[in-house]
Amino acid sequence: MTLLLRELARRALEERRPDAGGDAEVERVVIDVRLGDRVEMVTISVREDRLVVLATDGTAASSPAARAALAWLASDLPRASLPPGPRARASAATSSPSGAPLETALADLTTAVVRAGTDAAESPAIADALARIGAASSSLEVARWVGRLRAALATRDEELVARLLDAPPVDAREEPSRLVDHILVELGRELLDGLTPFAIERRYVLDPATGETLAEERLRDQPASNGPCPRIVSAGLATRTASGRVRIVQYSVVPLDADMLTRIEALASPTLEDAFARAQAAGLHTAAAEPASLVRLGTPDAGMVLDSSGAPIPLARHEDAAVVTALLEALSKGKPEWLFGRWALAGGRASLVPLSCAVGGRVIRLR
Amino acid sequence: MTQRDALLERLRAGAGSGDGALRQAMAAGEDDRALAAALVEHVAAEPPTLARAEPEPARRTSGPPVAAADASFLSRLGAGGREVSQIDDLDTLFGVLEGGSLAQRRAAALRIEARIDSGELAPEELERVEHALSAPRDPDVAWEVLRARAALPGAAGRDARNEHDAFEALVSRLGDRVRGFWEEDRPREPLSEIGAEDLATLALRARELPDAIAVHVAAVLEGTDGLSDLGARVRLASVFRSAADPRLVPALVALVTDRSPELAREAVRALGRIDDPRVRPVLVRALERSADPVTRALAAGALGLGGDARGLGLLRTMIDTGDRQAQRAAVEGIVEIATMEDVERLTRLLARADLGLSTHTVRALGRIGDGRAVGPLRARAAQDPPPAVQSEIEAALRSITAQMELRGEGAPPEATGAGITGKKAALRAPERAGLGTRLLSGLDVFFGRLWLTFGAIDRALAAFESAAARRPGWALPHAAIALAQVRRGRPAPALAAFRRALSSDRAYIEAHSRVVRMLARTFLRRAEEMERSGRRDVALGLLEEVVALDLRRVEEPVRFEIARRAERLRAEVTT
Repeated sequence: MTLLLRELARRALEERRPDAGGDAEVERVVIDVRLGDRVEMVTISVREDRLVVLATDGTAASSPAARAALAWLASDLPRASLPPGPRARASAATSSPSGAPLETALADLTTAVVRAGTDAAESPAIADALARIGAASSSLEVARWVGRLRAALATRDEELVARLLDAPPVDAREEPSRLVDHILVELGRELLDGLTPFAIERRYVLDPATGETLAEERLRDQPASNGPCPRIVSAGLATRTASGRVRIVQYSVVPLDADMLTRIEALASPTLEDAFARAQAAGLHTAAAEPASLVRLGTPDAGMVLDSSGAPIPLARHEDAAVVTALLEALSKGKPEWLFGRWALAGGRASLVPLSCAVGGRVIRLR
Repeated sequence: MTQRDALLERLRAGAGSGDGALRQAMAAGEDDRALAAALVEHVAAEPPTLARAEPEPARRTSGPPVAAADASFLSRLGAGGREVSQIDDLDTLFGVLEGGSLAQRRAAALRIEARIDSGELAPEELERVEHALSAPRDPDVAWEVLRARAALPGAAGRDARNEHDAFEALVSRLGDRVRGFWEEDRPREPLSEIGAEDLATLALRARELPDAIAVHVAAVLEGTDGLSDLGARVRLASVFRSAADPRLVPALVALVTDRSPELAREAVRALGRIDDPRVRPVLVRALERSADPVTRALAAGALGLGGDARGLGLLRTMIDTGDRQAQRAAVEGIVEIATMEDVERLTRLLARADLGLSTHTVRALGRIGDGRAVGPLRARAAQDPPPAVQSEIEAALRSITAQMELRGEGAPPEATGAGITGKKAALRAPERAGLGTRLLSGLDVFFGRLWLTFGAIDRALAAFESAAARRPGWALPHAAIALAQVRRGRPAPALAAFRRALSSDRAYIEAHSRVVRMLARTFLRRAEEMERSGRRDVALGLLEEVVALDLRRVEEPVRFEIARRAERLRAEVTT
């Protein structure tokens, strides 16, 4: 794949005009690295002349994915650079009308949106393309993407519209890997817009061994694992995909206990900045993913939620102002420990939608 | 404008065939697809940054009273006026417990508990508290009343504390079964195995349940216990309707958008009773977007429980023109937001045999607190209605009495022959007066004035009442009634009539010197009486009610005295 990627990149570069990059310089690269059945994401950037490496499979020092990405990057620096590009950019944008129905509809949608402009989001061409996308795929990822795009168009958020169109869903079946005798912790649950409002239920499941957050998703009339939220799931058998979707097959459920709460707190990012960097490594910048973060909290001050370093945490009032108010009320009832939330973008700025929090040894579900 | 801003602008306004410069910049050639792809790619290339954190404004938690609004003591209590937690006077607290909005009733019960806990109450006061708390209550305030009762010394408090011990034992047993259900995969859902009475006890004291049981209840409501069918979930939601437990909010919010209207309706009912910031936007969405008219009506009512009367117009329309099911839901919904304008609309429904409709109609009339409803309610009670309706009538009469006393209007009228309960009123109820109605009501007023010139005040009042019943929105007959009552030396019923006149046409009243002067004097005198009898809260409520009016036509001494006394009382009751 690496060689193929290089070759395709070289060809694409040759097809472009020599000055297409202008004075652009690469500031950051995001690389997907396949490790067996899974794909990990590595973000490499330079901050104050220091190399910053973030990887979704662990810390940069121990991450095999980070090592592979660094090796690839260091082996042969490209002569010309391109802007940091979309992760899973499908060939949709350039596919021909005779391509697969989903890819064609995605390309038509991008064209329709750019032609009409986000100020004319009610354009029949956009509605038609969205309907065709919904009809072309039964994938939850596609449905969620359509739901997000509709919301972005409705709020005239052209920046988010561009990110979503630039990173459309890929309707490819991912080969899942097996998790056997694995402990998972559900920390949040919410209804999300899909092809219709509130069509998708997503449960956020933390892997306490790695700190990774997985998502168990279903359409509301489809089955999923049983149990309250929050809960500890002792999974005899579960499957997960590289993109972080989990299916819990054989399991039992127990309530959260003090040991697990201690473990969760230890996994929480001590600072918002750290959580944000991890979210970016998980694909936040492409809008293809909706990463979630666990942030250790300090005591709120002046109506603001603070991380453990005292930095204020931006909360996504644009998406759910009421839950932000509920969070602050919850935090006033004891010692704040951590906040678990999903990252949301609006106008190119990222903030957290609170899903749950821990206060005084209790976990409070917020959505 | 930066290059990126320019690209965002193109994306906003649309880019088409005439965008040669853009195509060149994007190296897109003539292919629109390539242009579109390049444009979104360039815009998306900029990584997102962290948003700026904004401080969260504090939420008012006591909940405002219904928007029916006047400036009376109850209407201002907790909404810019005094907080219930600042009231010491027991009679006022009892009045609020009977006649206040849901938030006010809950706050009053908790304040009574605090007064008991303070140890400052004399034995005879504790006796009065015990008596007041022993009256049957609606389940929405039962938890707070139970707490207050448990704080009482002696047998009454001991009984309540024993009830709590029994609850603790029930919770302990249920906790074991819930844990076993999830860990050992037991075949029966534990809540389905306990008796109805125990389940009702759990719901009543839901806010005291341990987290493990609360999240289990939420899981069953959401349908993620793997066993409970739709019927069981609807029943559970119904039992937990008055639970008022914020831990159930996420599950209930999910149910509002469930495909089953039965679940959505129960969820809306339950959410309206929970004091939580997440509730209101969900109810607004249900009111505006639900395809089920019953859910919309219930959402309007649930918003009303929190003091938001935006659905009042919809509910009135549904009561007047809806089918039976919609009408029943609308009457249930209007309970907390009905105004004096709805008294006649609701009294027309009193005779209906539908038990659900009757109980909610009675409850709504009680919540309005208008003395005109007393006659019809007593008449209905005399017809030997079902016990449920009878009990609601007794509670409604207590609520009306309490509200009238808190507004300084005194005890409700005994008579049933006057006002809208009269024969003429029963025959008609025009919303918008036609020419004939206006002519007849004008004649009523003419004859009323004629009777007044002969000193026949009762006959004059009957004529004015008739005019008011023909045209409820016409302020003049209400003002005439008020003036006649003042002339007869009965300030309490005069206050009620003045309020109806203000509610009909405030500008008319404020523009007529004679009426507004008499109104100001009447309120002032009544406030003096209240203050002399130690009811300073009520006195302040009366004065603040009149201060809110345009008093430019009132004589200066009266106006100054009202302002001065209100200021003094405000300072006294808040210290």
